[in-house]
Amino acid sequence: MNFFKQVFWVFVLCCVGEVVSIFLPFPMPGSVLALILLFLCLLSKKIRPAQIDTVCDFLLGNMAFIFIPSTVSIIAYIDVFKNILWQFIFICIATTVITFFATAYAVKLTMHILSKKGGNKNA
Amino acid sequence: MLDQFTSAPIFGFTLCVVSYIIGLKVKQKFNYPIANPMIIAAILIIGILLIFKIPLENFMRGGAFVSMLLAPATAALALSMYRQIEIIKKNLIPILVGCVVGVVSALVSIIVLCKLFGISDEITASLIPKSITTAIATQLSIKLGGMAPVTVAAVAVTGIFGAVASPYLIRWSRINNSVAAGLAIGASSHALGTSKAIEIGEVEGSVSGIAVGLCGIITVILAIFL
Repeated sequence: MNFFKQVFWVFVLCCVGEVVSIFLPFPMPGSVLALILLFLCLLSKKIRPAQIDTVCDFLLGNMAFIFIPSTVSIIAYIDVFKNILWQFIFICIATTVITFFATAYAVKLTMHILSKKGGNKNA
Repeated sequence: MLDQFTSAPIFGFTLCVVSYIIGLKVKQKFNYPIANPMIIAAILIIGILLIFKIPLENFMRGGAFVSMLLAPATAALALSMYRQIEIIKKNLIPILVGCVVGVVSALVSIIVLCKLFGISDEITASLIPKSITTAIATQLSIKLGGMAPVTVAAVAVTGIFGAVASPYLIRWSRINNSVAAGLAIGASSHALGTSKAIEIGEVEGSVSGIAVGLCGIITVILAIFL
């Protein structure tokens, strides 16, 4: 029974997300809306972690399982990959490095500025 | 006979479960990012489909049950973010700045490189969400007019590279701050990178996990304007 109550909260929020997504004038996946809704419910203590944690931890721990069918569907797109395989891999790797460095230095700089400001206040 | 059996939903579903268990066993044995249970399972299934000439549609009748869990799995990210609420409160500004910069740099670099290589709009749309977690990336890809399986492949290549390379990237960038390192890993290589970040350190792991959820949301919001 408790398991179904947990499923109830998570899945009902997903359904709400899907419905809202239909009516929004811009592309926003229903699942992301459900994520935001659930986070707000947790923040406002409308839902306690204990009410959803068994189901959520199972899903979070087995994401790899959930993506198996979408990964298998790649065989329907072999023609797409044939001609651009190397560009595809290069773009994936290069953008990962760029994103890593941009984020790391932005955070470093922000923390540096914040600590300077904090230091002045204390002085 | 074979067609009748494989078109029953229980076939595709069971095939997913069996190959996932095998994937997990292989991962336990080798414990290396390239030994990713999802990729091992997918290769096994593709092999079986090709050898026995089973149509993809038959497999997907059961596969659809598994894919249905994508939305609740995305929502579940809320719980993992909520568990880090103290770290979020303490580092709110660096986290927000890091995630916004991470998302913008990913989007711009992907679009520029795709243009440079003359990549079609459809594939560009499939690549745009490739730095965020698969759960959000595939949905966004579809909404942008991309192809979900191409996105899954791009997300996997990105994550595996990030998990392998992030310790070296930390060294080269001379980042000696745990929050900065964790955000950089999470923003650039999502949940797969986070698995490495957890090995590097507790703060790195937590912050990387926050970046996965937050970058996903920010990417979806910014993609509205693409």
